[in-house]
Amino acid sequence: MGQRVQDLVGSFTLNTTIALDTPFLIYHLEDTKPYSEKTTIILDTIGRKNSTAIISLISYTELLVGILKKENIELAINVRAFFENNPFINILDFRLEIAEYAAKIRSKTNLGLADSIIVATAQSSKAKYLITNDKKILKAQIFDVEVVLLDELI
Amino acid sequence: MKSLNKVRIGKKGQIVVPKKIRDSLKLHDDSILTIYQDGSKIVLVPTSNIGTATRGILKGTWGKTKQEIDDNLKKERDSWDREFKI
Repeated sequence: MGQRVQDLVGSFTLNTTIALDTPFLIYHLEDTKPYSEKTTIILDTIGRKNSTAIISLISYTELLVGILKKENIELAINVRAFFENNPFINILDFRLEIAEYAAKIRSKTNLGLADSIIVATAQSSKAKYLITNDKKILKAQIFDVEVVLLDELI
Repeated sequence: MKSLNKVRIGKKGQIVVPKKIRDSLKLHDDSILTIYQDGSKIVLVPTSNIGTATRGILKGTWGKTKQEIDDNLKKERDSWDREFKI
């Protein structure tokens, strides 16, 4: 285990919320190496420490698009069941508070709409970390959430 | 190591995880398991292994290479702004 991942997961506690962006989820589900080695350590630690992972409705939609393009409805249902039945991964709805945060983030950083909603979702759930591999999202470091790039963990 | 056991489903759909497996995986009362269907299999995963158990379960869905996956991801992410003409 690399030192950076060890430091990151070492800081997870029962009360830590970690926001996961779409690249994290897709690299994990696709087993994209070397990233999936890190995503596995992170998810196992979240489960072991009973921390909380959250994903935005945007990421959930992006995940489903890939699956539905393969015309695999059964898989889409299984993915939904996976998230619904997973006690520590929550999909957060796009609600008024997140819309207002997203507008603020977009106005201050000029991030895209989807990126802004993802940062706003992390912010509104008081996530300590937002794990992504999208360098653009580093612009959101000015807000309370710490953006972690998977590339930095390799 | 695979451990083969036969369990019967109770009236309310309950099953008992055999003691040997509980001990081996350090499961106790109140341990939480994730359950999902994988074709004709029912898979039970302790949350402490959820990353290990789900790694690669949707391989080939978003692309064959990292570049292809990244390109598809970027296309999808950029489409939000294109669709809303921002």
